[in-house]
Amino acid sequence: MMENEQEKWVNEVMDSLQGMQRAAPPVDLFEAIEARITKPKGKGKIIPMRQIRWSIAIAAVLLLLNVVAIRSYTVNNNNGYASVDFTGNTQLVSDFKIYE
Amino acid sequence: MDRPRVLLKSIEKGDQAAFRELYDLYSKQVYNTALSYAQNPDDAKEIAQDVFTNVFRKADTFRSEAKVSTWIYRITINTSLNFLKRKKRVLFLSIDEQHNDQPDFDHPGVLLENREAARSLFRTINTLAEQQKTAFILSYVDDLPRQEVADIMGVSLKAVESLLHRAKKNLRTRLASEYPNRKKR
Repeated sequence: MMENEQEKWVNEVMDSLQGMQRAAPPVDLFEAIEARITKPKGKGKIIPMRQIRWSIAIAAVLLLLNVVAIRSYTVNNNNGYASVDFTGNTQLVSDFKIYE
Repeated sequence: MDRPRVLLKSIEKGDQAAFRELYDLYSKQVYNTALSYAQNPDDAKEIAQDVFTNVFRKADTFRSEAKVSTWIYRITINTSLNFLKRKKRVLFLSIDEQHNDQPDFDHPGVLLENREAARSLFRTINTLAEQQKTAFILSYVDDLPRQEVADIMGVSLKAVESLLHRAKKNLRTRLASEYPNRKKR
């Protein structure tokens, strides 16, 4: 019963375009086309989507590299990887009595 | 040489009157095909503008072995498909979710008693693969002969029959699965 009703509805939908008329184009369509044709070319530049995607990807990579660089600089500074004294000489070993 | 070809030759030289005459000959065809794809009168109008702008600017690229109507149909289909892809991309990037739901389409030429059913059909046509959708729209909405559909799509008559068979099968399956929810929409 349910299947028959479903089949009937599907057939009804599939046949719903029978007797259909064509739609009339908007009355101002030709004027809009004329305006577009007479408009001087090259006033606005259309940027392709691919170019936008590449720009975003490159910007993201650059940002990431900057973040990594700043992070590693900060971490290394905090660990006292190399300390510099005020005379400007890099101090590698603090105690010179190495043969004791 | 038939009249549309003569008109195209004149359009090549920038003849505005010839362009108007060609528009009068094909505007209904272009607008209706665009409307079947876009399922939205504003979008169909924009597609039709693009199509005729291209016809005017590229009249010199028309190859004389094809029919003018076939050439214009091809431009209309390509423009419609590109427009829909562009729109999908924009909607995908859009934050406003309300714009992502396309409302049901009421074709103004459908008989009043068939409106509800036609709405379901147009919604389901949208789920078809590109080639099946084109074959179905040209054959059943635009009511073109199969051979003309084959010429427009650049495939054999047999391929059109096969596309239509698959399109109808898919439509029936998808409509059947929609049946329990048909009144909720």
